[in-house]
Amino acid sequence: MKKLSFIFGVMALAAGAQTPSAKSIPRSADGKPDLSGIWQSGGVSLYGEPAAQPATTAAAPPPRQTAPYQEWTLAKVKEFNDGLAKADPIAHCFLPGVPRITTMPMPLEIMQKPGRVVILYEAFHAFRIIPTNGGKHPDDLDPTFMGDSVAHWDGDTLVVDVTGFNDKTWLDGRGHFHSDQLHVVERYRRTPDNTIALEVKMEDPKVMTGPWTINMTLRHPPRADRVMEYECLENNQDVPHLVGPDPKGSAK
Amino acid sequence: MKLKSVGILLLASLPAVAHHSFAAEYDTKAPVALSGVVTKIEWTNPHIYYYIDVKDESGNVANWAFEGYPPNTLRRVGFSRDLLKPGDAVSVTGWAARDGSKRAASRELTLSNGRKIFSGPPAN
Repeated sequence: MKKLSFIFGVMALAAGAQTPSAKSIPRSADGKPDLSGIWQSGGVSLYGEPAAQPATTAAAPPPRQTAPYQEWTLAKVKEFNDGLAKADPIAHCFLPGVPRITTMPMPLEIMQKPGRVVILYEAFHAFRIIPTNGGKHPDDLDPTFMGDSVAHWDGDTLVVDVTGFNDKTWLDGRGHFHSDQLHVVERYRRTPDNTIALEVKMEDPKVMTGPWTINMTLRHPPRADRVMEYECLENNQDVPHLVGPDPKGSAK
Repeated sequence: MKLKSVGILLLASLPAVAHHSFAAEYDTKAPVALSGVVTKIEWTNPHIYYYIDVKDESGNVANWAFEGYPPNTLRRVGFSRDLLKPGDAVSVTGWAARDGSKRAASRELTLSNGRKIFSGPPAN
């Protein structure tokens, strides 16, 4: 019994040596922060109707950096915006890509086990299977909407490197197109206040002058306890009624 | 046609675009308030639609389509798919389509029993 008390004492000391935030976040069996659960970055099922929000709510998205886009792209971005985003790929039910998928006003579920994180998104049936063992991207990637994700743990932060994108998505609803050279680094950090702080750095040498970093907060949506089906093509009546110039092929 | 402007106080909000740019299809400067009888409900993605026969002062009837949130969102805020039925007399506020078709983005729906519920997002 004395020995047991000693062990508990050592454990308590070890716990005491940790920072307060490290103590108070949930952890999986392998000691890594536990990111699993239903999360959402915005929308009615997270915050409720705008009129019902107290003024102090954290509903407003964090301020974004101005997109650091190269001079030659500005006319194209303006054209997309003057066209009121008729060419927005998601209006045509294409996958939103990364990181835009995380901004959709619908829940996502993170499933975590040693060596792998799987993210299931309600929006557009998107999913990502992310090895977390620090491996490299395959060197024969075909370009895709959601790219290829590999990850490693940097202390308590899951760092996801995403590459292998096609050039058919926008980074937001404001016409910010990109090339197949897009490179995204996401940093997921579980916080003591039961959120995930997500920092996203985007780089694209063909369209940007430097890195574009945005931040999001993922919260447990009080009105959504599971991811459900969202089949965008079921009854997409909008396209013929969207005004502005017709999209010409991809969003290039 | 009973088509009049309504003043709606919109609080600042920047919801992520769920599917398409609001302004690409609907005119935020053209609010509508229509009353009529529900003829059809499409409980579908990416948006639900409900259709209402609206009678004007001369007795002519026009069928209007109202776009709303996707089904999952409505379910999560307490708008179940049996809340609205063909034959129900309702009133709706929203914003008219830019292209002049008899379509609108719905916002607040008033059911025949007087209950009010949001069926679509605020203009943004």
